Amino acid sequence: MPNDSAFQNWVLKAALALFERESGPVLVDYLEEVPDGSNAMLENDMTGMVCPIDLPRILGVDPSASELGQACLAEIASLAPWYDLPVWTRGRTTMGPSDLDINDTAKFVAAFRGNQEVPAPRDDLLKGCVLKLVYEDMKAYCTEAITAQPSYGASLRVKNLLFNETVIGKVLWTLGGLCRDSDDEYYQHLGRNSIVPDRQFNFFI
Amino acid sequence: MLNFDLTGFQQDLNVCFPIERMHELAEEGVIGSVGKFHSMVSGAAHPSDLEVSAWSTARTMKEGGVDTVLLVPIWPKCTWAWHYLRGRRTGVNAVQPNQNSHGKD
Repeated sequence: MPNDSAFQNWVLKAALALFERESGPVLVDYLEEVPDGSNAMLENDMTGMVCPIDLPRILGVDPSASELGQACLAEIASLAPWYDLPVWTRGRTTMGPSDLDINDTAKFVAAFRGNQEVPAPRDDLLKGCVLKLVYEDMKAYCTEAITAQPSYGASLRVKNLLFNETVIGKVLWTLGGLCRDSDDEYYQHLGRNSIVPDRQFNFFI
Repeated sequence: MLNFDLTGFQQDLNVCFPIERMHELAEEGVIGSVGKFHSMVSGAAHPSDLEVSAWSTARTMKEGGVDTVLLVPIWPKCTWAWHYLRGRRTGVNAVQPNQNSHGKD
């Protein structure tokens, strides 16, 4: 559980206490539940305290690649202050494996969506590998921006927002569908296993 | 690249690398001290393919006076290599807390 030092401390002490057993290996169930973050501030509690993320309007069912790309770039720009804040406070980021500027990742994915034969922005890796690094960077950028807000500590809440209320999420959904329907086995693998979490497929059930 | 939820350790490195908690436990006297070196094991291979690296890591730890390792599972396969070594009598004790280490996903 992030940012819960008391719970983290308890887990470590419980694990270390297992060394007091006279024989092993041991496997122990604990009844304690992982905190669900319900103690975190709710949005209603924060009125007047923070600026909400002002996300661009999500486009219709099947926008063109250029429309989606433009909307994605607009969203990236609007999220920039929220992304920069935790990078500054935490001193690190998980975005960057693609070695591309975040705007270039969005441009590539949008172009790929319109034409899978579009050249990759890196020539040292196979295009499928570049594609994976690119959309993972887009996810990292968006989730780090979302978790900069006090009410977004719980993982599922972050993912629900990313995949259901952002343009980047819509890009990922459409990219996942495109890959699943591809003739290329690697793209199929990405589409089935890597782009959108299984849990999000059941979001509305 | 990682195929699992990153949101937990994006917010708090201690979720996957509890270095601050370990130093606190050392200050409390719960443990003697924290090792100088820390290692990561990728699970994207069969444990037997990782044996050379795992033995090297265990050797480094023993030379540093480490007698116990804390295994933090980010994804279950990530600790395969260490489980493999535990069965090979490396002389390093191992404990694995298995909280939902990367959040509530």
